[in-house]
Amino acid sequence: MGFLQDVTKLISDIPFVEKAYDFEEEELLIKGKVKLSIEELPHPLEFDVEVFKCYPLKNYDSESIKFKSLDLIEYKHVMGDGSICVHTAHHTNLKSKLNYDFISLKNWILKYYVGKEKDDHYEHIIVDEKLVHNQYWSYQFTDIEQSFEKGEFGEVTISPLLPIGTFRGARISNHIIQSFIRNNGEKLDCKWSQLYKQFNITNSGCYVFIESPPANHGKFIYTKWSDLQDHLPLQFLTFLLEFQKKFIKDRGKIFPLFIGYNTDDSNIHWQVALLELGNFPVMGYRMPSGKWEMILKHDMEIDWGLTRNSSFDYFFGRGSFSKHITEKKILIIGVGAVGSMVAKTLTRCGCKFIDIADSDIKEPENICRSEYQFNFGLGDKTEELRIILGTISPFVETNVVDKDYFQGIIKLFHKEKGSKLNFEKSLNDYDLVFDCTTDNDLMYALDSLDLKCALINLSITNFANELVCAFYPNIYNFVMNQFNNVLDNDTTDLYNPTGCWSPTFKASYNDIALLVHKALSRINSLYDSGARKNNFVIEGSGSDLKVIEF
Amino acid sequence: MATNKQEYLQTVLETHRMSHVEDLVNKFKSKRDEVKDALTSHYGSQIYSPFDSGSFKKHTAINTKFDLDVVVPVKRDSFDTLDKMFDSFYDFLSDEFGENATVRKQTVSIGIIFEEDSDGDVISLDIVPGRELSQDQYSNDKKLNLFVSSDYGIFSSSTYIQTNIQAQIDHIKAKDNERKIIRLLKIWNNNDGKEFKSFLLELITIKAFDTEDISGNLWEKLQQVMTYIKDNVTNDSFKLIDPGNSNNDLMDTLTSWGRTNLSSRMGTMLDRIESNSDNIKGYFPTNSDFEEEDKSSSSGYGVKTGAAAFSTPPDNQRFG
Amino acid sequence: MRFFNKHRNVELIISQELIDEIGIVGVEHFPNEFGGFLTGRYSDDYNTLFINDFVLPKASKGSRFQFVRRSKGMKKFFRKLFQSKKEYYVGEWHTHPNGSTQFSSTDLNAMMEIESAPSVKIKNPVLLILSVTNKKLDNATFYIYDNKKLLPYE
Repeated sequence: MGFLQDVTKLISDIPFVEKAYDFEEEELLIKGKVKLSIEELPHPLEFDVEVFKCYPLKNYDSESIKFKSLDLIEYKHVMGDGSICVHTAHHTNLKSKLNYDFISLKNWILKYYVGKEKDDHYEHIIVDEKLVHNQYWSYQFTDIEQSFEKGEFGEVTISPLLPIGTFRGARISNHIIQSFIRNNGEKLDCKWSQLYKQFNITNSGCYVFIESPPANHGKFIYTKWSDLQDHLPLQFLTFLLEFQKKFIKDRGKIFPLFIGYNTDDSNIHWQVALLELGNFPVMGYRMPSGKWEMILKHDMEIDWGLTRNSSFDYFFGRGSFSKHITEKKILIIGVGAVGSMVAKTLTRCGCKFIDIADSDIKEPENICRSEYQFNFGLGDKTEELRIILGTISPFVETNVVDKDYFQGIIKLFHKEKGSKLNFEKSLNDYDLVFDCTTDNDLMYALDSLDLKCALINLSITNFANELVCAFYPNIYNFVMNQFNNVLDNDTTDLYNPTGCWSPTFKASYNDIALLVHKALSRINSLYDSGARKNNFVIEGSGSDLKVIEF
Repeated sequence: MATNKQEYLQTVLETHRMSHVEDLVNKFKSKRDEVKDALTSHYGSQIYSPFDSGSFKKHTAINTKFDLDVVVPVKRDSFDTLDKMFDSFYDFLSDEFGENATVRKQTVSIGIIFEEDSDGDVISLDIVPGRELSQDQYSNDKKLNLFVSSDYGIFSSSTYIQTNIQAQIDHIKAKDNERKIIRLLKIWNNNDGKEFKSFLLELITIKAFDTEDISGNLWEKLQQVMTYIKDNVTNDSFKLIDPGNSNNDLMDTLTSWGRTNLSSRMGTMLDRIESNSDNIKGYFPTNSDFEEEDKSSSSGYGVKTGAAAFSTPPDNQRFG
Repeated sequence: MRFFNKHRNVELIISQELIDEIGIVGVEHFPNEFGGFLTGRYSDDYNTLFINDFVLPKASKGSRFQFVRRSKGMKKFFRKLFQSKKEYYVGEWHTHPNGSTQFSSTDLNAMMEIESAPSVKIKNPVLLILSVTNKKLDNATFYIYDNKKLLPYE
């Protein structure tokens, strides 16, 4: 038997399939109709079925079986072409896969058609993102302090991100929204880090807040400007026309209009319509009474662009460190191999304030086992790391602490009256300080200070056999004893890059990262649970890591 | 390299001895006498003679952190109320020493911190005024009422506490073995976050010696006391009665988390030292300021501290 | 023989026979330098050192002006010595052929390294320098090492 006969037969055999009919073969797929009768249904439901010939395997990245019914378009999880989004599972056996997929369809019917359930979480409305001027346009927004009211509108300021990139094979221009400026002049700033706030503002647009999604059935975005007629206040249309007049010398330029709405009690989303200066979809004409009337051009299609919500919670929604770490004001002293990994991991895990201090220069040989990059060339480690952290997260604030500061601590420590107090004061401005310098003098000095902030010392033995993590106030004595007496730190085989002035331990990026990540994971859970912070040593022989608590 | 725990702990105690800081101790004592004299001449017959207490008096002081306590027993009829007594002492000490010292109210005492002298030393004294319960009763039983400063929340409901400081001092009299262990535990506590009151460590050590047969060398004794603490403090019925006031149970100052924490600190330390004797140095540090003086002050052949008995000279030595 | 060091107020006691014996070994190696270890024990009050024997290194290399000794494999020897006789390593000796008994900077450096080695438990190792000719031992001087200095006994 062929594919057509097999599929038709197997579908007919499914208990709740009353009838499978009109199945025929096309070049890439077979299609037909099914009538399903389920106890809970008052009457049978009919679906068109398409089964691609690669079935039961996937067709590229999408399902190779489709159930469609244009009558059901208002229900949840139904696409614009009437196809139902059902959860499918991997099966290589035709019969099992068909059974599974039909049961999924049945589950959808019970839950959303019969049960009329609405999901708790907001589902993005379906937008057909258009190429405009032969390219895509994207805009990312983030949280602002204030909220919007229905019908309010104003200007939007915009900065470009790096001018590189393609999107589905076409060119794309990426942007961030910097601020919304209300009609009364009040400026609502997006909560990006200073690094991004300092970007040049090169574009402007406008916004209007309409409260509910600009979509049919809450999910299919409007396609014509006339669909928006009831949602856009008259004053806003006037405002648009004035805007066009003001910038008419830029005729032809893309002008984004952000349309905002609530997605739930506390979150809003923006969709962007791409307008062209000189060809706005608004017309004004004079009524016989002499009054001016604004209307939207009826047939004109809306060119939707791309918007993404990059609010802090979305950005780190898939995983971050405990709030007891991310909200802390952090200082990292020493950003070599260990320190740069700590900085980068903290950034990716959602930390917002990470200051860094190091007087060292990045050389090419540093790159292989730290977070530094070749393209920056030679330079101060701190300055490069500051930029790297900023390129990862738009929410991290990083300041470089004066590079001679901690050298100064050691020099002045024993000599100058009052210097201790000053250092205590400036360190106590932080909540959490990481010392990743492996500098014994500094460790001694820091340990002798009277600190209110938490201080964590991280150091690694030669060949990255062990990582030693110590918490203030028992740092100096513990670490020295581990290195000098307890651990077998073989320092006869250090790596001497150029002469004897700067021997360093031997270990690869992978060796070090393994230990640093394990240590940070433990530190995170200690902060999360609020447990006592006992010093610990991670022994890393091979791939087995063992944590010993002290 | 394994550590001889017994010898090492001797070195720890040795390097923390008060005799290493004799000059400083003398400065403390002379300031103390100055304050005592001033109090005696000001209050005259209103008070009994002031006496020393605290770790100095109890011989449990360590040279890395110490202050000097002076208790001033006050006659019942000298002041109407305890807070008038406390304020009077505070006012007098402020007037007398405030010019070159910071004088401040503390929980039950008045702290005097003298300005740094030319050697960079800071002398601090705690003066504890306490009133006898009824006129002339002090001479019989040494009981005193202390005023509890209301800035401190823990005793917010009562404004005084009855105690018998002399009984507290007597409680540890002539207990040399206990004192050594107490000093070691204080050295550990100072190095490990200062989570526990010295008085608690003192009482628990004495109780361990009273309850168990604690014997052997210094390390063995310490080990037994630590084991005793580990095994007992999480027990709800475990009490540490203040010898100065039988209504005061020092265990009440620990939360249930605090009890578990103390027990598990002891357990972890014992385990780590068991698995590698060198770890003892991470918990009980020597005072490195005085390490050099050990055994090799300026005469005699020197031997390194806590060391095994014989040497192996290093390889490949070149002579010319 | 009894020597005294004012600096640390200590005594050193060694028999004439033992010095002569060391001298004979030194002369045998003339014109090259030669040397080894000294063993003995301290008095209970650590004020007197009794040097009771000398030990030849298992491997060494001597030339006219230099001498390098190894100590590989000696740990077992020193442990046995301690277990059987309660005696231990107390210092070093070597010859200066046709030279004085004055120590060189190389000698001082070697003593510093020795004292600072974790496997060495004593703080004041001694150094014996013997001036030898092709025929006989000329002179011998003991030094005590203390805090980066070598100070002679009288």
